Amino acid sequence: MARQQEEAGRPVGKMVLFGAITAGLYGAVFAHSDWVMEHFTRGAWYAALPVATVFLFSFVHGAFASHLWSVLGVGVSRKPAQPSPRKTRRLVRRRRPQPQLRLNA
Amino acid sequence: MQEAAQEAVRFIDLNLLSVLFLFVVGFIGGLVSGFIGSGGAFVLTPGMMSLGVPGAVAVASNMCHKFPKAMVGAYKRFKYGQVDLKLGITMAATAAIGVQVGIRIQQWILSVWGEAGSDLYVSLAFVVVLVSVGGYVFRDARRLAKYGGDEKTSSLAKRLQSIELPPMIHFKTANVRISFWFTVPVGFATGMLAATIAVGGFIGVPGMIYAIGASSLVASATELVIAFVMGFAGSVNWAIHGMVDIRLTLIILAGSLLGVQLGAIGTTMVRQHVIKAVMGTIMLIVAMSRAMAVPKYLGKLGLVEVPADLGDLLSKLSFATMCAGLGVGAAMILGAMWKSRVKEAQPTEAKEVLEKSYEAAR
Repeated sequence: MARQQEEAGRPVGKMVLFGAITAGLYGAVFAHSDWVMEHFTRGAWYAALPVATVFLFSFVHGAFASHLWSVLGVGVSRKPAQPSPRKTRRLVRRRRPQPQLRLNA
Repeated sequence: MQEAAQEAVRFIDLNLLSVLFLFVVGFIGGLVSGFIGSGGAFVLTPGMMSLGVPGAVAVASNMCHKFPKAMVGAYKRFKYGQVDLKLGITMAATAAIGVQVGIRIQQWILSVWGEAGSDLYVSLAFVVVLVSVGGYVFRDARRLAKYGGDEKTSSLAKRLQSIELPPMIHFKTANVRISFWFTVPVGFATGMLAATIAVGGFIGVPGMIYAIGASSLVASATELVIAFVMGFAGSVNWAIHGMVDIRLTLIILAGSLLGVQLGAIGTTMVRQHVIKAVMGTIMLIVAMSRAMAVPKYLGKLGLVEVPADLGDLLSKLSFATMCAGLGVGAAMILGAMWKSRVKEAQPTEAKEVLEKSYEAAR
């Protein structure tokens, strides 16, 4: 049950969306690699092109990678990575406080 | 110069094998960087050069992939509460000065002793720094693994923190209050090393741990901020000269952005001594790799006689050892993550059994 809930919360849709955008961007660069190389290596103000491109790719591909690891179930550890002082465990189950009717007269 | 660079960039042949090589090394490098804060990209420059990429283009394209990778890694680890932004920016400012001084020293050595002298200086810097610092980090990691217990602030850091030399800065996430003047030499040395061997983090992370007093978790995460700032400035500089081959950068980035996030996730799973163990191991193997290259440069300078065959063999062995260092580091990270997952899964199963028995009792 818990596992099903966990799987249902995995961002498959987002992963597919960002994956498709990433693939599209890579496809666009490599399909026009001659034009890209000609303009991106001109230097001077054209330096903005490669820098802006890596920012764009790191945003889109970074989001895809993040969702991919989530979908694959590789997430942040639920237990703390560092040792922490041991908490004393309650052995007896306590009942939750229930609302009670009281008359303040 | 720009025209020459354009010609050099245009003539690089990208086949499936070279794309795969760059992607895989990018992934492994990203994994290591995400985990220990740096040290994942040093194989890429010689790796690209072995594929026929000119040296300057290899350095520029590598640097242009490093800063977005560091940015994504820093963002991820910031979300986990591991990054001390103030410490990172303070260190990066002084590291920038260190880079400039490092470049000047390199230029001076190049003008006096030529290319072989410069290569020898870089290799010796690698060996001296990595053996001394890496050896210390590795010994500390082994001691922690053997005797257990929490990571403690070093006596040097405690002594420096106790000196009230204005301006005193409180680094909140690192939970450290120290004089600004004691962060300066650490940042400066990080920059100097970055300009010399291209991996400033090999001194930046141990410096933050043993001199400033940050935990290895915070130090390795904060190093990513320094790597981003320095990498961004360096990339803009290379791009202005038209040296960045965006195709190479994007292929490496495709692998490294996957790796850096996995490495960042890994830090939440393991104990802090694992970060030190991985860092120390990689540093010692890389030092060994560079030591193998020393005889060749001594031979070029005419200080010793080294047969050409032996020199070539040692160069190949040196590169193979460097790759092995990165591979061993990645294997240690993945192994530690796997162990942690298995451990984490065990109590869950016990819990399920317990819940079932509760339900049966009802």
